Amino acid sequence: MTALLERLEEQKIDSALTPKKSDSYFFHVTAQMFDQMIETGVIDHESRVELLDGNLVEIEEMKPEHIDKMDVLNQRLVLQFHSKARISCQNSIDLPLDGRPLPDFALVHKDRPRGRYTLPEDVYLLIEVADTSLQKDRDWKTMIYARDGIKEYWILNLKNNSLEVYRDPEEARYTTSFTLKVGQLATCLAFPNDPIDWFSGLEDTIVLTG
Amino acid sequence: MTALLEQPQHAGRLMRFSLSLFEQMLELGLIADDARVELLDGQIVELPEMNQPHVNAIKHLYDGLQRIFSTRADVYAQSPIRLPSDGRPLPAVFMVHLGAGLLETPNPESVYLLIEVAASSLNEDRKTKLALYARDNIKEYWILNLVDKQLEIYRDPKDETYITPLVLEYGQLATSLAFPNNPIDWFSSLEPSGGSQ
Repeated sequence: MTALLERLEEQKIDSALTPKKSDSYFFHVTAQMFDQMIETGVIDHESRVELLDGNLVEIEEMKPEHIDKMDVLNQRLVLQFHSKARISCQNSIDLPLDGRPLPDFALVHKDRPRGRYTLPEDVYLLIEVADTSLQKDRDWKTMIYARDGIKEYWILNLKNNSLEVYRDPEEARYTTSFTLKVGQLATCLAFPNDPIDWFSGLEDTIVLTG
Repeated sequence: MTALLEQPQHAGRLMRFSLSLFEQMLELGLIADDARVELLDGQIVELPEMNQPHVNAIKHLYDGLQRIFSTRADVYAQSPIRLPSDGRPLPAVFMVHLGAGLLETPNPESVYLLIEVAASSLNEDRKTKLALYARDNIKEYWILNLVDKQLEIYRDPKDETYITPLVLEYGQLATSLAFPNNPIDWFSSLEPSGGSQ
């Protein structure tokens, strides 16, 4: 539990008064508590938070450009995979160590049991669309997703219009990772014959020259 | 590997718990009544475990204050106080206007004196808590420092600090601003017996 006890201070919280890692033990929120908070309305949809290793972490507000790109990608994934996978958009994944992230997209086994959250073994691919959340998605979530057995994880990096592909989880890291640029199609391990045009709508000017 | 992972720096902002949200969680039983947790500046933190000398010091301090001030102030030990900036700490001991805590959790306005007893929490009591108490206008704040057997006195809150700090050594009597004619032998609470014969 030392990782929990020695949790790093959150730099972005503006106030110098916020308890620091060195001298406080942050309260660990269990998945069960998190569910109760939702049930009782303590957390509602306006709260926009996800549970990551027992921490309630804010989900960044999306700018209009972010929403545009989400919608384009959503349409693409649905068109391409609707007969092969369930496409879940910003819905909870039930991770074993008090984790309830809300990834932007999850490609999930079609025949997974109903009436429960998606589990890691149900997942073909998780995708996060990142601009302001890039550091969280890259520095923290890769570790969590790899540790919890998410087989493949992509970050659509809106800061530089690239796609980061992470594969082959081993302990708390992905042993294979590479970055695709606009124009390079991506395929996920589960569907090698279905290249995904992840970049369409990303950069209008580049699409024209391509 | 199944260990919890540390949150890397800059990797997301933690949710802020407002005071009312925190109290709602307590009311609903989402946080157990006996959980040793405090709300500090919108974050829930766990209180460190106390060893016996620490427990004794709180008890003796409480008893001593109670003995001297029972007709003029209400004394509380390890009870909550509501701070406007999303805080609900459980100070070791505090004194409030008579009756101020009867119907509702006390606010800073009714506090004469607030004392933390510090061993492992010394750093936090001097920095985070001091800043919070000063910001929320706790008029007088003492830290009973078990490590160095000293009493740290902080007065005149301004912004996030106290302008007038003072340190007393073992054997030096202390008086609070609110009751200047009633010296307190704080150091006897450092003894296992609490100084009583």
